[in-house]
Amino acid sequence: MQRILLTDFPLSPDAQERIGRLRKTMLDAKASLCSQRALLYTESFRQTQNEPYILRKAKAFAHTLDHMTITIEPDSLIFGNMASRNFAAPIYPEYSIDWLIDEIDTFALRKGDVFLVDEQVKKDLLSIAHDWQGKTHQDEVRRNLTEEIRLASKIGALHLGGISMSGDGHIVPDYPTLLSRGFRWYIDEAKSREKNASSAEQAHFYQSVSITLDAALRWIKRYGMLASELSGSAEGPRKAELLAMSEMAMTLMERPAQSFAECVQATYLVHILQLIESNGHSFCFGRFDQYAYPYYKKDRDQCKLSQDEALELITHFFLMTNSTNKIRPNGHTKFSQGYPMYSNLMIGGLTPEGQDATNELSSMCIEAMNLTALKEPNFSMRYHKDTPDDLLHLAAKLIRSGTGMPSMFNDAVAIQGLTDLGIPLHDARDYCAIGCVETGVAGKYGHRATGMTYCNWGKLMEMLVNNGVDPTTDIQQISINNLPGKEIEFENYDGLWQGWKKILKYYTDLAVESDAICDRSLVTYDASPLASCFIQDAFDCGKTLKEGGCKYDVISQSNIGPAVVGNSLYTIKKLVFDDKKISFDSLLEAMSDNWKQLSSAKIHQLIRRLPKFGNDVDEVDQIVADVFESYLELLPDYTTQRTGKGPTVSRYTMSTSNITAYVPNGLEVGATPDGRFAHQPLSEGCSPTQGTDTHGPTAVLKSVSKLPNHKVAAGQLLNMRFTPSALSKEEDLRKFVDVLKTSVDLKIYHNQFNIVDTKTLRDAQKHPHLYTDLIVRVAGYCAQFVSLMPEAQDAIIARSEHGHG
Amino acid sequence: MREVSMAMGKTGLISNIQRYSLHDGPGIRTTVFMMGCPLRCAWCSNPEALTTERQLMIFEQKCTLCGECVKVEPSISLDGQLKVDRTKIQDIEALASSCPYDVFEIIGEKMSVDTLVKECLKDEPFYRQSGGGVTFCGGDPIVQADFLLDVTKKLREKGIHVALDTSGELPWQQWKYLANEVDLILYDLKFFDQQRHLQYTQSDTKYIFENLSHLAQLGKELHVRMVLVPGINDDLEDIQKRCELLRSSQVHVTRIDLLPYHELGKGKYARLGLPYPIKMEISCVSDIEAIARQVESYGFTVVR
Repeated sequence: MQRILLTDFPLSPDAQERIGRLRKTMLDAKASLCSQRALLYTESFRQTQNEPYILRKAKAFAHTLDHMTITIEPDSLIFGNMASRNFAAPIYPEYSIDWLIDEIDTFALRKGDVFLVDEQVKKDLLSIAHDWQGKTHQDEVRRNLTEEIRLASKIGALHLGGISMSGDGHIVPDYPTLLSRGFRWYIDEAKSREKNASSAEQAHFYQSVSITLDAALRWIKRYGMLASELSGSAEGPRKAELLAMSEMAMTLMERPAQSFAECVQATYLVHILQLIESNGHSFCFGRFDQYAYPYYKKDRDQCKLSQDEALELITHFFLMTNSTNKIRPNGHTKFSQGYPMYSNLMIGGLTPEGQDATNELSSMCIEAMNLTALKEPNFSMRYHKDTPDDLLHLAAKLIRSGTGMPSMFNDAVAIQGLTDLGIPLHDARDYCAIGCVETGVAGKYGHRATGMTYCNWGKLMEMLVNNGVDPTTDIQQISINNLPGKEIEFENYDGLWQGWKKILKYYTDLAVESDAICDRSLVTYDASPLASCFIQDAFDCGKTLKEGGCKYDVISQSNIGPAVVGNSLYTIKKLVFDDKKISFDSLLEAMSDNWKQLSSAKIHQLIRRLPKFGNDVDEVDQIVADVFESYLELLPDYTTQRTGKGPTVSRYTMSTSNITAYVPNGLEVGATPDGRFAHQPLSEGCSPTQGTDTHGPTAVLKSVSKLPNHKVAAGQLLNMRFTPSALSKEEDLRKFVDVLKTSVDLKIYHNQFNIVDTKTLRDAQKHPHLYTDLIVRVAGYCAQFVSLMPEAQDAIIARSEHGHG
Repeated sequence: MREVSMAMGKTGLISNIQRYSLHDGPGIRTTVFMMGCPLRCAWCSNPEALTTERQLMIFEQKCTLCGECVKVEPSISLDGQLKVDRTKIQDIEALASSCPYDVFEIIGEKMSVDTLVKECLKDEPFYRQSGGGVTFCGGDPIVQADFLLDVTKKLREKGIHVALDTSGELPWQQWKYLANEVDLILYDLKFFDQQRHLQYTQSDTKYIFENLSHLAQLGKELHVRMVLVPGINDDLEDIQKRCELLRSSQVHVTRIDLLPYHELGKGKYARLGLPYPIKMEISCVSDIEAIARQVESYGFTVVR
């Protein structure tokens, strides 16, 4: 289980062994449900019936912190737990309850992301169901959804996903500020501001902040008492550790963080608190190497901290992030498999002033990630043309080790994306990843940089060639030629292209409407005093993020399958219109029988021979770029629920952060004109469709470089696979680093890599118990390969394998 | 069975272009596999590139017995299983297009100088970053030296580094201009022993050895490549003699690549309708470390 160090940082064998043990604890932990939060929230909500919702939430949160079971992991230097057991998922009944009751007997029987539910937990949850039924966020959304959106979601064109039944998450607190103030500052300030509040809502906001943070401080002190209690029976160095932990907890966040150890511990606790407050995902750490560095440097300069101690602390912190878990309905789990929490942590990049930001903690974090090699934190790195070669090389070594991390972000492209949205350069340079590949400015972005309503572009393509009719359900919400029914004739490519724009606009409009319906409900149900008070300028404005408290409000949906659409349009253009090799009708016929009959197979052969996106062939790459532009040009017309209510920038942008949606979205789509077989996965992010890129990684990068990457300002996901043998030699690794560097010149937004060979993956499918520590890059995040559903495992295997011999 | 450089005008015949090649010279490279080879090495892993004629590969397992091919090629029999008499095929192009399931694949694409140059320039940003470039291999690219000379000149005008991977087994005058034009030569030395060279490559070493001194005179940088086939050419004695030859010829060798034998090309023989030339089972493995030490003792840099 022990991993080999990549760097020269010192770490004693004992420390390494302990990391190995803690790592094993995390790997072996079985996902289960914990009913404590649900019971405590219910108990509190029963007491607060007629109070404002935000106060009810704050009080329930406080009640939970006061009474939940707290534990200190035996080997860990870091404390803090979100549920009663390691890797147990709490329940958040205020957001949605019906699915939980419906699926409670099947959580343990799932094909992927299995959760164990013991009888008592089941009983607990059933006992409170009545309190919540009809009163959740999801119920509110359901009441407001239009018939059109319902139909769109029935045919699979739209998927409402998380926002219709969960909290928002997708947020990075302003860690530098909160660490420099401590919770007590906010409490005192909130109390005084409450007195001078300009409205009842504002008073409630400040009141909820002080209730929340007061409870958080009491909760931290509970750990202090527990540590002191545990120290009684502990021996040797552990005894001293527990006593130190106890001492720290008694004053932690009562005042500014005093040391590097306090900085790391507080960072982790804020994370846990956020996870308890809301059932959203993607609560992130932001630029950890940047805000933790002043604490590190001060302790180092004063000889209070050794490098081994710092590395050990970071490593334990990383390991502990793997103790957290959340559960989602089965239907949504298909979209995001592998128990992801997407707790992104980012290193490297530029400072707000434009200098290289690399410091000792940057490489120390890579080492910690190497030592832990687990799915969390979702580890990312920013780089630019002046990023030190050593750091890039170290990152490449970590990628080679098979963790799929870090995922690499190109500063030039990401920063341009943000400044183009109107975000000042200084802030844009301080961006970080939020969740997977979505980017935003830490501490200044409100919730949900991406992942609003999902739109299945593969389905749109299928409907386009059927005049807007979904062939599976025969539902027609829009007609391309304004006549009812499937019949349609396109005169030329431009006609087809106009048809695409028409259907895209129709469903994007619907998606924006659905975003608004969910967003309006979340104002109440996801009122989150804790998350809000740590984001600029919510605390100063005295309102939550959902009410418009954040400085920047940039949101995006998720669009799945641009390469499938582009390849399909190209196929029709080339075979039907330009070369006139086949008729449009014969293509439709071949698609409808999934290329089976001989006549269909002949057409499929012609399609196979056409170039596809990802092979550096301009004529098809350009069409995929057009597809991106067709969506981008719609966005300026849309506003969010917070536009005009506070944020200085408030608008939509684009993201191709799809999690695993390309797999289940593909299941809903029949054969497409690009030769894709029915029900096969769609393309992932901006990556080529699985298996269609046959000219190697450089060709993929060249193709992607032709897309308007910087306009996809909420993150452009590119997933690539290399064989281990393509990176095994030192000179190969240098060439891989050269690929990364060339990506900067090519204006690639983001690269992430899987370095596991097909043989290993196949073997892991057969013998899952031997591969529990095999972590693969799924989409914008990593997961234990064996925890994924077979379809998702297959899709990962099918991703083209790059690198020869 | 020596072939002469073809008078193909300004088109070349190419079996494959592989981008992101990592082991055919410095940096990230595009490797162009040229067709035609003066040698017939028993272990050749690119048998589709031996001659300057397009080749037909047959993937029998893809056949559904649909009968489409028989319509264009009546000599094919589909009685329960696909049977093709290669000598009777009239038009491989028509045959390949007839099959909806890609049972027939044609190897060999004719390309003009400009088309190939354009293809090679696609990865220019990667070459610049990594100090890479283009490598011609094959087959043996010197068979199409005239064509490649034009391609090389155009690439070098654009500042692209060009390497030539060759056995050197053609008279010097046939490829000296090309040799002069490229930046680096990857030179294959398979045997010192004449007898075994003839036995396993069906060719003698005359030009191979002679050309070494021409290359020495030219002062060209060489990476020498030794494919090590266990029990056939991996004995220390022959390797020692190859090293001595290199030293005495005073050629400018900057590294020696030791390439372990692999059988990855074996499947291609069956698809080309050819017997696999190595009859015996190769089960042992070369002692690469010992060989490397020996080569290093001559002062050469070894990459394995």
